[in-house]
Amino acid sequence: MNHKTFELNLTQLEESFSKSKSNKYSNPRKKKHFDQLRELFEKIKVENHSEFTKEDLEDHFQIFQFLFNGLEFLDDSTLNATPYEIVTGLERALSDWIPQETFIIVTSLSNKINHFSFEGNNAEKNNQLRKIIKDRYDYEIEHRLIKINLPKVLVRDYLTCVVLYHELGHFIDLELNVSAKLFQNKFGKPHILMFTKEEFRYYAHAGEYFADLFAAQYIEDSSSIYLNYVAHNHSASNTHPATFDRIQKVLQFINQDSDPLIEEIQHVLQQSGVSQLALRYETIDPETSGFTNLIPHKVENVNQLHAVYKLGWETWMKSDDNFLSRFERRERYHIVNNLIEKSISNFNVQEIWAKNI
Amino acid sequence: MYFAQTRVDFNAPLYISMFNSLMEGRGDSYRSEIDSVLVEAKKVYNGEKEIYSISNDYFNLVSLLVSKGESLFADFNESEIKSSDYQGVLNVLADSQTTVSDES
Repeated sequence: MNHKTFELNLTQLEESFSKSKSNKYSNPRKKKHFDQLRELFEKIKVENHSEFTKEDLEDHFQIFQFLFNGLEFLDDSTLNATPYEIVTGLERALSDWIPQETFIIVTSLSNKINHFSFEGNNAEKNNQLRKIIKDRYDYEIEHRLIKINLPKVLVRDYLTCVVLYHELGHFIDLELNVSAKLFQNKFGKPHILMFTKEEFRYYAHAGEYFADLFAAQYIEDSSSIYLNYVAHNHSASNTHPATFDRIQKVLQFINQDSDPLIEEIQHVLQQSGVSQLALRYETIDPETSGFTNLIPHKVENVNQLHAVYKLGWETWMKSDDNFLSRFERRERYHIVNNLIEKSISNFNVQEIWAKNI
Repeated sequence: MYFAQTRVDFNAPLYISMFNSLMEGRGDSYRSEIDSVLVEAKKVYNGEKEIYSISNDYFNLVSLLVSKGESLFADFNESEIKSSDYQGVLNVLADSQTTVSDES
């Protein structure tokens, strides 16, 4: 990076802020985050850039990436675009693991059908950026963004969106360094010094297993059903374990069977003084749920809130034989999604009422 | 992605920038915190502290420094942290970057 490319980047950011300034956010914390990003940018703008050293330029390149990412995701997370009912379950799952008040979950809608992923700085990178921004500008950004990508066409698809629990698992993994610690235990060195294919593979697989298990805490094996479709019979690659092995691991966890990797993960979590993997759902019997009468399920608690996804999946998978059989395929699809959405949304509304009484 | 995930979780350039600032007498707002992290890393290296107990804010840095502890902590005096200590960390960070980029 030199001064001219820095100026280019600065101008691009200025344009981005200008385009985003009229965004309306459903959550005041998002608005505040946007304002803070802009305030930081204004401080950078008035600096004497011509005197920036190579090191200054390098730091600002990283700060600019941080600002660009923040804007990109906030832009997609405005009133009309955010799948609120989906995010609400993820927020609750997040709060089981790390103090949720410092985070804002934002979503980005992708045109790619399988584009479920997360982007975000882990605790360490966030800390580095905070330190550099504080030192240079005496300024602190209060919140952190967890950025989740999901396909635009599936934004109201509550069946497929269970995959996002898996993605949140990746975030927690990087935040708490679970795979990194597993790697350290196995190879006796930090994972950032990975050399061999075997080492890379171990680290990548550990991360996938953890994300699967993390998701299974909340949505049982719902994610496996979808995985078995999109990655059916996939054998192990350098980045992912075989689909069969992933599904088996989730089953072992749900059945609380002993498994060396699950035990090691639990050990690492316990030693680190954080939450451990646990079954955090309360199974809902499809026969006694409201769904059979085409009404939302009356969700009694947060564990049931997560379980609504599994209920939805069971309802869909048995739709040739259950109450949905009298409807056409597309109607079934809309009914299941609406029932899941309304079940979650009713729970949210009741919680808000209860707080206001 | 669900079945294709990319992960970037260590940013050596930012640490290099921070330690360069410390070498040049800047970075006062985080100097004492970084010094504490170096002390913690030495304790882990000496077996006086568990790596698990290290804050996630510095976990990767500490685990990296511990892996190079022999060269880093031989003359390290926690009550008098010197520029040469920061330079040692910078050398380790530079090496780690070479390692990662060679692999990718």
